[in-house]
Amino acid sequence: MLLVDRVTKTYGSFTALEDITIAFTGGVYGLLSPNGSGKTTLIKMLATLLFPTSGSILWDGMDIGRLGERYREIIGYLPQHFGVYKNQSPRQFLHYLAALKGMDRAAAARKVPELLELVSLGNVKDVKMRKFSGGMIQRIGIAQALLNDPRILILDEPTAGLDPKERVRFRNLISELSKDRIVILSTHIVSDIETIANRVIMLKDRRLLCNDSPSGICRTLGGKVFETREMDAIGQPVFPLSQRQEDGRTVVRFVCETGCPAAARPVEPNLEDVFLYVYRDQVM
Amino acid sequence: MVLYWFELKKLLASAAVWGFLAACLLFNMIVVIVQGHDDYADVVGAVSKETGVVLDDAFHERLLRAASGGGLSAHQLERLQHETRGVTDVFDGYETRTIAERYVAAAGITGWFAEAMRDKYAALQKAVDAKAKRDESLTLYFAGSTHARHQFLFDTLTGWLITEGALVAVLLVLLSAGYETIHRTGHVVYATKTGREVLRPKLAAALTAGIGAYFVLAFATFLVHLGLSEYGSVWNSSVSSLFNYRIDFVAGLRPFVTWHSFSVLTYGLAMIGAGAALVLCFSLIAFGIGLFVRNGYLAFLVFLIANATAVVLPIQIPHAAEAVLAAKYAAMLLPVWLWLKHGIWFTDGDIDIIWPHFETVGLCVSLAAAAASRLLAARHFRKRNLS
Repeated sequence: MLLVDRVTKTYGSFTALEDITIAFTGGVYGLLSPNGSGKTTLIKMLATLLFPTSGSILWDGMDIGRLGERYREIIGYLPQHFGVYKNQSPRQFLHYLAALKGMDRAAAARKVPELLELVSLGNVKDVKMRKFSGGMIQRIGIAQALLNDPRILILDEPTAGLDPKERVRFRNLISELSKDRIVILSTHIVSDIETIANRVIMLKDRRLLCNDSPSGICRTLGGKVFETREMDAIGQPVFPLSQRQEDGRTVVRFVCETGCPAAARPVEPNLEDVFLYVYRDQVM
Repeated sequence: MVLYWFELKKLLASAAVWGFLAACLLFNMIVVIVQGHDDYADVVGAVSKETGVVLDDAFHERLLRAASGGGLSAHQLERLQHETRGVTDVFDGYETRTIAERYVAAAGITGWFAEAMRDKYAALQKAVDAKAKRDESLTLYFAGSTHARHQFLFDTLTGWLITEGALVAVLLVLLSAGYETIHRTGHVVYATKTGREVLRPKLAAALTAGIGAYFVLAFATFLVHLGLSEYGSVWNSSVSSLFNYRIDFVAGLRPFVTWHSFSVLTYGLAMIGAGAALVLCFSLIAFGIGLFVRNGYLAFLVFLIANATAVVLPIQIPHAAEAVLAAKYAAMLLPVWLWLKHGIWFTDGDIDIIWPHFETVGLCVSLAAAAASRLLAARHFRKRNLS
């Protein structure tokens, strides 16, 4: 079990995270909150790039700082801003990272082509990455995170730069991988985790807001989400969530805390509704 | 070891490094061609193959035979005969105490520092006496062209080589330290099993590449110089030949005295070896800076400013207090001062030096200090938040 135990992270007088406690056991954990809410700080602490100001992060009861390489050898990490050596080919780059991950040459020679095929880059494995698109670079990032078959997979904004088809493929891949490991996936895009996360973790005001299953989180807005075609007829105070076109008319989806307005019909809340409502003062 | 090769390949793939190396080589070629040519020195080198380099009776006989064999102009023969005839050992009766007293008076030092200066020259007297016993000064070197050729070889050319070697090495070390920042790969690299320990193969690769570049520069430059010049048997001549000398504003004109007995060959090798150690010192300092200052250009600027400060401070600060004077003499052991004084390595040094073997002491102290600071910087890096 990976345990974030009462962790606080400050930079001088600025507090990035405060008193966070989360236990990761297995499956996909979606870390969902707007940009600047401390997701990346938490992720970097899990990847040992940052150290908690107070509290500790424990793997099977031992501090990950003390475990050092014994901890780092079981993690796979894709940072938010993933860079590559553009004068190298994907194959060369992955072999270098395999060496850094302590893999022997034979294992790397087996694993690298396999992963490049998995992320659909097998046909450009020996092409210099200078002219690769953002999506291709991101796929290399996903491949390198999987190189050492990690027990803990930490992905920070992994779908950035991927096209819709690649996003779906990625979600399927993560879903497949999560069967026997911990996957921690940080994102501000609800659809990335809506269907695959076993648990969703939300941070607000530098603190842990909730750590629950998607359905559990959605239940917090149960009976409060409505849709209407006649927004002007709603006489109660509401918080508009989204709108869409239906039969040439605009359907508005909103939250109302004071019961069902006459001109609206109740609908099942989804994760996006919760996200928009919880972060209503932060979401643009 | 695998990581070492990966890191080395990363550095060698840098076009900037190869470009700089090529520019240095081109510059050295120009220096060798423009400044390195000396007809008379080449004649002496060629003659030395026949005559040997020890200035005894046999030398003069062989010199006459060589002249009669042709290939030597009457003017050159006359000059060489004139320069070598009736020479005496410059170390016989030579006293170093005078130099000590002149330095003590000129520097205005008293007490412990004056005693240290006198002790240095008392120790040098023993080296002088040993040279006198071996008739070390009675060797040919390049006769009348000795001073110019010695200055060219061991001051100008070696000076440029050390400067270029240090610059290439520092460039490589900063490139290695900042490689992950440049490519935005730091987070991926430092979160792997090897993690921040990758600094070890990085440093090893940068140091070997830097030292390797220095030796490549030295080899290529000397190869061209030797291809254009005639050395003959001069390699076996002593650098403390009576034809070699030093000019010093305080001590005046004086023989070129080394602590140990050096032939031209061994002195050259010692200079190149000490140059490599100095390049290593600069590299270690730069690596330490590179770990603190993540921007490579800024790190290079910090490196230059740090060295410039080390040069300026001992000159500018008035030596009123003994502690300041002690700091000034200690500063002479810093890599940048050793670099500035490379032309007098393995000699007694000058008015700024109060210790014997200043280059060896300086290199050892600098290497130890640079290695220690590198360890501290690495320790700091291991505990640093990599945001």
